[in-house]
Amino acid sequence: MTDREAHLQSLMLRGLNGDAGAWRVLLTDLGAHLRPFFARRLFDGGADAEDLVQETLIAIHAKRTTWDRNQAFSGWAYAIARHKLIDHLRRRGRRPTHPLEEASELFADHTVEDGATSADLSRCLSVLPARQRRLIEDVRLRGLTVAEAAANHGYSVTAAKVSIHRSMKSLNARYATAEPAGTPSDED
Amino acid sequence: MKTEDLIDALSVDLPPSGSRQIERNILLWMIPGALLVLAGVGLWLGFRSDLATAMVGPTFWAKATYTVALAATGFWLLARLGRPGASARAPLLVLLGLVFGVLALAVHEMATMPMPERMPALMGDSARACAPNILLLSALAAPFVFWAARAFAPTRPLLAGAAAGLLTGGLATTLYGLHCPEHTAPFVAVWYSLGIALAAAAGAVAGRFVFRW
Repeated sequence: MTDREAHLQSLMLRGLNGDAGAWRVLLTDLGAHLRPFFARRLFDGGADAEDLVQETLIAIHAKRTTWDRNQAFSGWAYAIARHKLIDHLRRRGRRPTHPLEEASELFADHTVEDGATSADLSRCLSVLPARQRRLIEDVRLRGLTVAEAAANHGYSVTAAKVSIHRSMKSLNARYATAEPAGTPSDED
Repeated sequence: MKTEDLIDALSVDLPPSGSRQIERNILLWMIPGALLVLAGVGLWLGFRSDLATAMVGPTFWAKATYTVALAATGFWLLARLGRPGASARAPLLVLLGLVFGVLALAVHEMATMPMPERMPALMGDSARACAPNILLLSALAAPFVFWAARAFAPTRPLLAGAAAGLLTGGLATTLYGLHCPEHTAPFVAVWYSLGIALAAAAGAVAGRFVFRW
């Protein structure tokens, strides 16, 4: 049994015993897995996927007693998500076939899309000078505070803020053609 | 509605739930269902006149064992099909074993009989009435069982409906044994099984509509 499976099972057991906090964590966690799972299989934007996420979460909540404590939690959750997906596609008049082997995919850490996104992202960032780029990566992608990133790269905090602002401005000018260049960033 | 708001709303009211709650509910709802079938047998068909003597002999109980086993397998199958992701292979194999076991017994009994006795043993006195009676009696118990089983989440509603029909059919046929005096293995293997199969087929149709979630 994987760590994730054990973690989800313990949340599920606590939820079944009436622990609302654990239940909220479990549903939030499942929602985060379901969103890309549905989006990958729908090909038509996020709106339907979000509806399906909500429908599935409601079903998981309403049918939580149908999880057998001796059964794999991920297999159970996947079967419900798959049922809701097929139901949705059938209502729209299309019937795909998804093998049950995809159960593991619902809880995969990385997807092909993640890789593609990060490749696109680094291509975009490559227009920036190296030092500026590393700063942006630390603050905007790795989630460090401006102060931490500034210390890492030998900027003062103020200089870091200015640099980030400039970087965002030039990225905006280059890629956000729909928006006017120089849209105020939230960094100042 | 935003998904976070939905999750908040779902996490507010969370009564603890015991395991096997749905199974217990179905068993509970089977009691009024069985009583209704019993009333149907008693008032509509009438109990067999030699019931007291029959209940001492082995044939009565052999018939009941077969039909109770079918009902129990239906219950097991329903409990598996009602849980998303659970495998239904074991109860299906047991079901096949039961049906083929009884059919084999019937063939053996037929084969060891003198030729002129074979046809009467197979047809008895009530071959035509048997399956329709079982189907009707099963329909009396079905609403209770299907109602309780709606709490399940079958991803194959047709098959789950058939399992519920097998359960009510087995239950109905067991009580039908209080009326039906037929006592040969070929009769039971063919006509009882046919009646229960009809009940399962009707259950499959009902399942498509009842087991939507």
